[in-house]
Amino acid sequence: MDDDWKRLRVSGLCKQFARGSVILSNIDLTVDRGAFMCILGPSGSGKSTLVDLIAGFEQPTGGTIAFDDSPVRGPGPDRVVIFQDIGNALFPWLTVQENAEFGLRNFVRNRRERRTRALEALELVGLDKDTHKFPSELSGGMKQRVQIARGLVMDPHVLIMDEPFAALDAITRRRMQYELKDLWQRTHKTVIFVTHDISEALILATDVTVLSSGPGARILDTFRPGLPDERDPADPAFIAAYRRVEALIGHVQDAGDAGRGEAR
Amino acid sequence: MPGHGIRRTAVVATLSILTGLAVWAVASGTLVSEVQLPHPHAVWQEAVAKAESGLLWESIRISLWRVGWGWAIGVVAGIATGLLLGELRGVDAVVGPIFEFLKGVAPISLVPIMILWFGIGELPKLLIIAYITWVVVTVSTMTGVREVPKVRLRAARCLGLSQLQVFYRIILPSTASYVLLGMRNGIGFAYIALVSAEFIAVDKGIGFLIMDSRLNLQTPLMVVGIISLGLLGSGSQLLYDAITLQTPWLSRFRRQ
Amino acid sequence: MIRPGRFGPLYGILLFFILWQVAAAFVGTPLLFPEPMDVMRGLAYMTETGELFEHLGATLQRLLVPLAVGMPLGAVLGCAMGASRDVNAWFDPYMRMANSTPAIALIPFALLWFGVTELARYSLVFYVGVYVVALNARGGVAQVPRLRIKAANTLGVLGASAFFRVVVPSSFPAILAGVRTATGLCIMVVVAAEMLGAASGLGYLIIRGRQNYDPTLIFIGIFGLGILSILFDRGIAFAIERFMPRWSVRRRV
Ligand SMILES: Nc1ncnc2c1ncn2[C@@H]1O[C@H](COP(=O)(O)OP(=O)(O)O)[C@@H](O)[C@H]1O
Ligand SMILES: [Mg+2]
Repeated sequence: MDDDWKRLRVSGLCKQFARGSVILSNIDLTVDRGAFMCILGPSGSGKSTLVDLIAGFEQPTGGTIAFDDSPVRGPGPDRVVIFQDIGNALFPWLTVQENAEFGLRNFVRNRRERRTRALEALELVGLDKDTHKFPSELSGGMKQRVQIARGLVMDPHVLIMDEPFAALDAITRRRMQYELKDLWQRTHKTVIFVTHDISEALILATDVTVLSSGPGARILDTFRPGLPDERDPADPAFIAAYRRVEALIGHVQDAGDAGRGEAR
Repeated sequence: MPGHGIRRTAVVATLSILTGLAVWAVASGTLVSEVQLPHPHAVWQEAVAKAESGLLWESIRISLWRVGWGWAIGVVAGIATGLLLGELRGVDAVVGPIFEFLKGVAPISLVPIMILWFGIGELPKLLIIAYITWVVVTVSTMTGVREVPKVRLRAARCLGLSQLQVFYRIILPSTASYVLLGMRNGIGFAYIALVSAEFIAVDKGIGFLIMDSRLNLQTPLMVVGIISLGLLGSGSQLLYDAITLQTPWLSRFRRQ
Repeated sequence: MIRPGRFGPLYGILLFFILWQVAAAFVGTPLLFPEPMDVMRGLAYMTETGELFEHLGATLQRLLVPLAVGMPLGAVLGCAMGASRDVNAWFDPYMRMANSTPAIALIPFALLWFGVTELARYSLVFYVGVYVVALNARGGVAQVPRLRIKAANTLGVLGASAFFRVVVPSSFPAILAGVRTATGLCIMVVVAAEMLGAASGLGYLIIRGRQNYDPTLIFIGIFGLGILSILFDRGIAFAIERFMPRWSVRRRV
């Protein structure tokens, strides 16, 4: 894999499960290196399917996914996914430290190096004091921090986050959003962040892509919110952006209410 | 794993059974003496002979009668005990260890004392089978009552149900899945108890057939007995599953 | 409302002995139903002479030696069955047969093959250990959450590596549950085998009690059996909590 990649390009992507309806149709997406791309869409629109395709868990029915010109194949540590389901995403029999080291075992021979690299990542998310705890001893927010650290350790090209904070309570969720934003500003990792929460997207994103509701979801709009670094949900510009997305999605919901009410 | 189908599974399973039969047939009389491992054909002939003479059916009939009644008595007693002990909150911590102890007492170890107490009629055999079923069903029912979600009980009280109504409209249906599971586990234990009783208190039945054929070195009959027992055991469980899964008002409790 | 608190089990033991005493007094014939004190006296005597430990040791050895070999083998077999449909299809018919035939029914067969020897008893316990743990391990592998495998894959841990580092550890609790089930079943099998032919062990004590018309000895055997089962079951649970903290029930998220 080329380390000087410039952009991740998704073009003409289609997905249809065997004998099912078309889930995604003709998705075009360009994620520049260092960008924070938020993919916004209602539940059931196919966001997780899109994540599965980019991560390599599923094969597209049509279209390509490539870093510049080299197409991605299968799952790999250059595109680490952070899952929403904190109950299952961590390995309950491993400590925080061991969870963070999990992926390194196959790539870094030296035990000391694995330890220090995991510890660095845990420090980044503020968990360097809890390395010997087990996941069952952590709160939801802390578990999600472990997952982020475990991904960062692999130094991926992109960090793909699939509604990572959706299972957290509203206060923790907001705190995690600002922490993630801070983390991104310090590391300048490329992030693809999937959410159904408009303000979450607008707080975090440099780029926003709005998906229509499924089945056969397509891209309704892609834009740069053009908001200042310090985002304030009370800022008129923020509110204007919010209204704009809401109008897009609201329009879609009028058209097809059938796609709603699905939770995964 | 994709590309595998049900058909492939069936082919492999069939191959496996055929290989097993072939190994058995070849080993018998060559690697192992025919007394220790009779030829499959000899076993088949023995089964046919004993089916024609009626001995096999008579033994099956007696064993089924014992296991059926013993199990049924144990189930009724177990549900009653389990509901009673489960309802008395806090009691489970006291009686829990007692039932743990009872569950650990192998049915076969009770056979001598039962014979001492009740002679060698049908009663001791029924009691041993009923006993182990009773323990299994009681424990399971008690667990079921204890695990009824508190919220569900509170919801019932909010909706104005009386104590009695709470019992038979909330606790009974909430416990049903545990009871059904306990009854199913009870089948396996009932068969263990059946064999235990028939091995030691010798007179009739499939277990007796197996034990008797050992003394007479009639190994084909022994194998026929063991296979019949396996078929009866799995047949009973299949029947139980069919009944509980096909009966609409029962099947809803088996999915949980 | 009863509030037994942490002494609940102690009350339970007390209640057990009271019930026993009442029943014995009701029957009124020690030759049919010995009182708890008779049995305790007998136990004390056998402890003094060392006979008790001899028989307990014999039963324990028949349990532990073959299980120590059989259960790991069962775990490997079960994981292989969970991993490959072909392996599963190959062994599944035999697993079904084993599961539907009470192992006790095979005792005469084992005695026929190996005579009244230690090997006959070992082979039975070994067989039960293998198939029970295998069935549990297979179930454990089948129930590993798909997301856990995805989580490993996305970190670059794929294929066999993901199987050994995620699927096998994930099914470990199911395997441990199988260990407990197998031990419980094997205690029954060992005692039955001892009653049908052995010169030592708890099952032998029961048979000797029957032959000598000594109900106290029968009761000692039964009592020892119940205690042994509890100790084993609790012992395994305790050992997991104490020595394998990763696998403790509390750790399961
Ligand atoms: N493996 C699959 N096979 C068939 N349909 C699927 C599969 N995975 C997801 N779907 C369907 O695709 C649609 C989109 O699902 P998903 O990508 O999870 O949406 P989102 O993450 O936006 O909520 C849903 O209707 C879902 O039922
Ligand atoms: Mg989703």
